[in-house]
Amino acid sequence: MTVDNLSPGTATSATDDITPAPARQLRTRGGSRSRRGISGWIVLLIIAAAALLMIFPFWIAIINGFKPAADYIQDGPISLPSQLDFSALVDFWRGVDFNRKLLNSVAISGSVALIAAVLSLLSAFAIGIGRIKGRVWILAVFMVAFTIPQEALVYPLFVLTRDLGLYDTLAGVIIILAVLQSAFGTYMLSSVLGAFPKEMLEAARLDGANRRQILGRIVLPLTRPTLSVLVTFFFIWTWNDFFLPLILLPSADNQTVSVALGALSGQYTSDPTALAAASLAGILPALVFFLIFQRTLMRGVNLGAVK
Amino acid sequence: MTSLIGLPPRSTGAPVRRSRLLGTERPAGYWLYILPGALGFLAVVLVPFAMNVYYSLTTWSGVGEPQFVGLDNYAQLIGDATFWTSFRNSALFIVAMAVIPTAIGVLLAAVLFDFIAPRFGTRTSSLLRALFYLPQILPIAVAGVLWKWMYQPEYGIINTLLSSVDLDGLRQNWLGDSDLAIYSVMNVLIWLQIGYTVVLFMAGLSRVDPALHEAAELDGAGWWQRFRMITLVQLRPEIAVVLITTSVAALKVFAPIFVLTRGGPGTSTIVPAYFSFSNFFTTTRVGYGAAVATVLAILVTIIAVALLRYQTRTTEGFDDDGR
Amino acid sequence: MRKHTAVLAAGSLALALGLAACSSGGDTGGEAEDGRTLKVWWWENDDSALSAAWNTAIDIFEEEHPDVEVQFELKTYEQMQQSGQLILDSNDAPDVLEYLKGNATAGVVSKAGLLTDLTDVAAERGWDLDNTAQDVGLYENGLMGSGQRYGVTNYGEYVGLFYNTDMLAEYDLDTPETLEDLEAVMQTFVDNDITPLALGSADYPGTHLLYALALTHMDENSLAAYQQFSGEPDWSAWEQAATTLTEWVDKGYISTDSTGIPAQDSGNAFVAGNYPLFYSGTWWAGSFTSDITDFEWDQVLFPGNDLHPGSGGNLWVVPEKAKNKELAYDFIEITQRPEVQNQLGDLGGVPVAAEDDGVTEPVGKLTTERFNELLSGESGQLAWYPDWPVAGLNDVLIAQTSDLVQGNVDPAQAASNIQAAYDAGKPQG
Repeated sequence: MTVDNLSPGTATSATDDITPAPARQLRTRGGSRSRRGISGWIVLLIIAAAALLMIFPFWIAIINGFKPAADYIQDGPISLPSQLDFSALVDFWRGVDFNRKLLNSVAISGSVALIAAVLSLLSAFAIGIGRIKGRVWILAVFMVAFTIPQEALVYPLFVLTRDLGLYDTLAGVIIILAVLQSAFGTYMLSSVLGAFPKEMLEAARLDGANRRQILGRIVLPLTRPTLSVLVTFFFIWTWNDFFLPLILLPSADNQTVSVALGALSGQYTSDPTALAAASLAGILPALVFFLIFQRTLMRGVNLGAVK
Repeated sequence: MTSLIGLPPRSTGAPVRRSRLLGTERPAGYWLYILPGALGFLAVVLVPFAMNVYYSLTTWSGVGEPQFVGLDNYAQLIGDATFWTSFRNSALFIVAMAVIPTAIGVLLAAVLFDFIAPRFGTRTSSLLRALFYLPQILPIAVAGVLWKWMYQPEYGIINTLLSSVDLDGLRQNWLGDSDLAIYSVMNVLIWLQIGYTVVLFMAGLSRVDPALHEAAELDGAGWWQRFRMITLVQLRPEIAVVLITTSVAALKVFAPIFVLTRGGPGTSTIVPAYFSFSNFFTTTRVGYGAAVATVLAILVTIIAVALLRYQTRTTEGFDDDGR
Repeated sequence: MRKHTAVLAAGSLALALGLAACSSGGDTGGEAEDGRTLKVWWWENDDSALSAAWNTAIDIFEEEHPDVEVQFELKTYEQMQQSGQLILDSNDAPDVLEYLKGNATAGVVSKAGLLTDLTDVAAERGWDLDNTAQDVGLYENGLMGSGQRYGVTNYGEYVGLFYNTDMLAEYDLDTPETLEDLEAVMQTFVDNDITPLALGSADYPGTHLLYALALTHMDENSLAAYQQFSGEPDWSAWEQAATTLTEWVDKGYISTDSTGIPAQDSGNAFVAGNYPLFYSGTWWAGSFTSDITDFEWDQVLFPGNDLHPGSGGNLWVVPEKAKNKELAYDFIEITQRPEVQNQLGDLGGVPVAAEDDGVTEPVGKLTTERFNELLSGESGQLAWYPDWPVAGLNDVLIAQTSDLVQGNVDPAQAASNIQAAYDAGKPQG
């Protein structure tokens, strides 16, 4: 589901930040303090309260993840911790071998992102620049790959990976997710490349460039910003992906962060501070990525229009 | 996805009409470039889906040989109350993931964009937008763990809070009450989705010509009137695309159910994806699970095709010279 | 600029290949068929009694087979439950693994010929498996309880009533010996505003309680009918159990919140001293010993019952496709030795082959002795678990229990819903 969900949000949030509409700037200047009024403050207050409600669960996880168990028993979940206590977090980290899960997730997400980007670029080159026959149908078929419910693929994939010796290996999951995500990448890149300036291609061709050179020297540099956005999406989606890794990576040693948290055994979901610590461990990498990728996304979309 | 596919081409301006510019080379050569993607698609999507359809025509426990039974599984599905419950819940999840977040998102985006921003600056509105967006970055599994704890009936955050302000009467068995559980799950989904719609619609609004608003304002239209007459109308393409994509996502919900309720209590929160999963791996009725998955896939594909048609209509120019 | 494509492609390829290499590293080692490796899988957590005992077994094995490398992999329970069959059907199968007992798991794969028949091996090697706990390793045509031996269990378990001795003493209550006693005890607590019974009916504890209440009305024949299809099960026993459960909810013995509470939470609530009674299995004994510090606790069998939920534990099985079967047999043999079994008992597990007086810790003594009494029939019998007969019955039982607690179904409906699921999954003919 993340595929359908996350991308537009992240992408457009960046667009919005970078290319502030003239309208908005104009209004910010024009919309002065005098316009705020009492109703303005009331609306702001309501919206701010709603926003705080949205992040309340995060706040709860953070303050309780560091709270000594005794504090929790005495003062409940809302109070601030009297001291920073890392023991619950450390217990969880060690108990589920969280470093290992992080490593698995990074390896899988990183590989999927790169491989899927390469696959997308190659296919989109054929469709958007090469304008091969039947490309509309091809795109439609590719679209099926990223809308089809994974439940309709999982059992056969389960059987096939086993027969190929890829079951319970990172490589198996990487290949499958890379293909599924490249379908989306192809779809998106094709429309970008479809609007590629023909004059430039024509000029290159007159200079005697062949297809491979056009791809490497012209298309790639100009689409790199879009590609970096894609790589970022692929990384985040893969990081958050749950279903296929749950089924295809049964070993504790191969589990990803998402699966490890989603399939937590009772001992870590038993008391509130342990739960908070587990949630916090899951939130931390997501927050880090958000902070890192936000910049990449902005850079990417800023140049991404391929004009 | 929508903005990436739909919006950029639109904003790149007039489509370039091109004909045989690249005619100097055999276009067949480009087929080589699509080969890796096509092979991957064949191995990861096409063949497995065909196998899944075949499984759905058999009785099979995962070991031994599948027994071909024709359409028996589908006939059985029609009489299976759990199957219908799962799709009824999907309908509720479409409300929770598509309808409600879209409604709230449009309103919030409009307020942030042309109420808060003009008065308190874009910095304020950007910050608020970021706060609404935050749940979107969480892996669903993590969101599930978090909310499981919020909802726990004895020591969960919500019930603890209610007791601490002497509202014990409002304490609920959030995920354990079969009448309430589905709404508790819906609440989590709304929480997850709002950020997505807010951000998307705000981007859409920056596309709207400010002159429209200014003219209306000069004509004495209030904020609410402008919201209805201008914002809603201008955002129509975004709204349509969001509704379709999030409905597809709603039909495919699995992880929140897996983490929060496993379809329970009883079958009160079961969804098709989880139903098919539990047939595959818990009761090992692979054929039956495959039938559920096939039905779901067909339904989703129908909606996706609708999306595709909508997209190709709005991204005219991409496909202008023959097919 | 072409460099970039090349770098990108090469980079991702290298990454993929590297991963493929390191992830397949473990497997290639396992393909050695020269008796130099033993591939062992289990899913027990590192801090569990079983894991500790089995690690001892690995140490002993390595000592006795200095040339053999033991390759141990930790799996997870749910994933073995989900994908166990496919693994057993593949060439990646280990030499020996912990596998789920029961018709839907070991039964199915034994019927499909994926497990090695251990009957002759056990006889040749003189394994002492002659007690009812080991019945869980016997399968005939996929049905557990008799037939050929496909697995060996190291431990047993039974469900009993844990109670908080201090709280009972506070209200001058005696340990209940009959169902009436138990209800009187619970009523006293309710009168003092204490919900007596910790229950997680979102999970197995709810179904175990319902089963115990049904067993009150069952005898050996109707039990065999239910578990082994030897006749028509006594569904009125289930209806009576459902009625009792509903009454207990109405009287406040059980909280309606319990439908949102999983097993672990209910155990924790008992540990925290919030509830005086907790009906659940011996698998809690170890953690109760270490976690309960501020009150005394004890455990009795369900008051008034002769039949008690419980059985031998999960199995060691040898896949038909295992490459080093002799080594696997050696390993299983070691896990049944006194030093391993005594350690298991001392850590709070319930060993099946410990020496007399070999278990010295009080908790191990309590559970081990009581389990042996159940095996010998001195204080009742093991009745297995309610979800065993039919695949998928567990979900139905949990659903019906939570609906009963919530008051969404009446007892007759609940019993007939359970019967419907049972009949649908029953082997034909």
